[in-house]
Amino acid sequence: MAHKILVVEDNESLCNVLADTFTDEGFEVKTAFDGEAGLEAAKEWKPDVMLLDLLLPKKDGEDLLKELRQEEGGDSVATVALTNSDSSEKVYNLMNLGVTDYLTKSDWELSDLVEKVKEKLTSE
Amino acid sequence: MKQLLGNKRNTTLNDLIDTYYQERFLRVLLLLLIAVVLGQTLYYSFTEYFGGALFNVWIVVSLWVAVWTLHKNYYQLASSLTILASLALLVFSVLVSGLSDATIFWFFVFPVVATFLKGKRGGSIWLLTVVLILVSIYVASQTGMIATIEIEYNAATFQQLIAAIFLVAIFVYVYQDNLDRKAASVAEREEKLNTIYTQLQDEIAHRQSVADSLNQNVQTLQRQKARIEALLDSIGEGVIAVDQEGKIIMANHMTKQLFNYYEDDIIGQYYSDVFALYDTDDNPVPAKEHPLMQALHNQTHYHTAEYFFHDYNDEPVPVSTTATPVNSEDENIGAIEVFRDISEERAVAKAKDEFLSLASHQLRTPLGAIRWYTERLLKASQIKGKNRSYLETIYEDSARMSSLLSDYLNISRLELGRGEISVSEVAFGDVVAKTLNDAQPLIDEKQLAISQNFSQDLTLQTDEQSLELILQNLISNAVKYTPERGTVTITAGPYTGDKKSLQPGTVFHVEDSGMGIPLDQQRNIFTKLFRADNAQHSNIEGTGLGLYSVKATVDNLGGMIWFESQPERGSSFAVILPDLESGTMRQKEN
Repeated sequence: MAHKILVVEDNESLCNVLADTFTDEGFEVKTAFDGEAGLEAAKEWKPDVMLLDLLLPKKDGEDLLKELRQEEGGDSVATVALTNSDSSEKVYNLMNLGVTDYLTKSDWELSDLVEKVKEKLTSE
Repeated sequence: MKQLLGNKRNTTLNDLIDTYYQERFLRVLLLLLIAVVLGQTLYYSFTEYFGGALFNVWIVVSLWVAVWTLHKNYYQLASSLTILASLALLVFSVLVSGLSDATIFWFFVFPVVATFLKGKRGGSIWLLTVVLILVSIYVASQTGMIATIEIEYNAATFQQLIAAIFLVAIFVYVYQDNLDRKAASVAEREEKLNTIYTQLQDEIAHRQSVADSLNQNVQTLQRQKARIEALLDSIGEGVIAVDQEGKIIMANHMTKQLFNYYEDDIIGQYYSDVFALYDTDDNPVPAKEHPLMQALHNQTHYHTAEYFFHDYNDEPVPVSTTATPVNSEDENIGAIEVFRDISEERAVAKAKDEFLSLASHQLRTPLGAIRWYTERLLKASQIKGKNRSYLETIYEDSARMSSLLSDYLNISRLELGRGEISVSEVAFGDVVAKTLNDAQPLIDEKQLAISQNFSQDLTLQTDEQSLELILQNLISNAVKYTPERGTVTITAGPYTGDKKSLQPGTVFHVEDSGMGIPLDQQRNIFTKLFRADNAQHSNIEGTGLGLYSVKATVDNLGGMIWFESQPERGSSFAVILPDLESGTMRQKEN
């Protein structure tokens, strides 16, 4: 059975390329373009892994994660945070919210990202 | 002058006996008188005129007494008594035996003697007294109270007439002599005074001219002082001077304005008492490390550095300062410091960095999209030949642009004082392996030998991202600038710390056998956007941000970086990173 991945990213180009890549890698992909839609999708669809942009309209990534963690089964969603800024303070907060990977978008190759996500799924 | 000359006084015997000449003259005169009187006494003895003989004996005795008293201090009193007694005796003899030619003659002896002894005034008084006595006697004889005058002309009369003429001559001589003497003395004194007056005039003129020139000098100095003060006050930068002891002797207008001081507040006070300095991380700077104190005590020019000076109201003022010792004739006389308020510069720099940070951030999203789309296109096998190499170029350049942006972002964050760190236990070997992995294609291409001298158990308590940035830059530089078949050595070990500044931690070296850094450019190596000449001419790509970024990162971790380099032989960069406390720390904003 294919793993479910939720991509929450407000930039359509990035969102599309991520969706296409993970689809090619055999994932079942859903996308959301803002924080609220992301939270709804995560609650209802219950993905195995979530790629979460931190700067999002309506509700930012950190708040989304906080609310999700309070939901039943919400803490089982493995999360890789994506960002363009790399504030250590934010990283520290996210780590407390169960985010083990934190990637700066432009520094990573797609293949590395895919590997990271796969690693995460096998380790759990 | 008139006052000086106006202080006249009568010439007395006091003056006359001043000289030997005068005294001798007087003695000769008196001896002559004695001789005359003795002759007359003999004459009277033969004529059995006893009273006359007795009188003459008295005269002789009194004259001898006068001669004797000339040498004594009480001659004034003695001579006055002698004259008075003689006169009394004469008046008595006239009353007894009547007025005669001889007695009239003797009456006139008194004024002469008095003139000798008392001066002109004394002589005149005696003359008046004698005339009054004679007039009284004459009136008395006319009224029959005493016998009338009967003048007999004989040898004695003639003799006495000669004596009287002689006495009058002496009187006139002495009187004239006195006058001459007085005149001469006055003239002499006047001349003397005139000389003194001229000398005084000259002296006054001289002093006046000295005073004038002094006054002029003082005015010139005051003008110069005012001019220098005006110059110093118009300088748009703060200027402070201290003496050898570190006491403030001068502070220009700008200094006072910068720090809200009034001149009286700080002049004469110790510099270190007035100014509290803080470094750019807001740590207090000990007094002996103040730039001005360093310049004063170490006699070295202290280069421009940035500090926060706390002003009168304890508000921090960011300043750039340069301090220099002041020497005069090879002797240190103090030190001077020039401040510049850099609040505005800092604000501009901050705005610039914020813009840069924001722009870099905004650029990352489209750049990421380009990279990822290109990556996907490259995966597609139907793109071949030239098209594939075009795509590869796009991909590589976007990757480079991305890392450049990371550098910019990292630097601007550090410069903004937002160098956030997250401290954890980091395995040194893992970070080195990761870094070497990135550089592997180039290492292989150049056939470089990589030597790793450290224990795989070595761990650091630091920020992993920062360590990665440091190692990545140092190792990639070493690899880039080392020619084919060269060596890159990475050495690391625990650092025990030094008591003064650095805490214990880890020290590591990245050494290469590359082109090295030209000696004259070594001091700029950590400067932003600086690239050494040989690096620029080498066709090796670089941005000039790497080492600047490394230095800023090391500083942010409270560490230290230095290097040794020999052109054509290679460079060795050493870093000490102190172990930090776990958890997230956020550097204080400046």
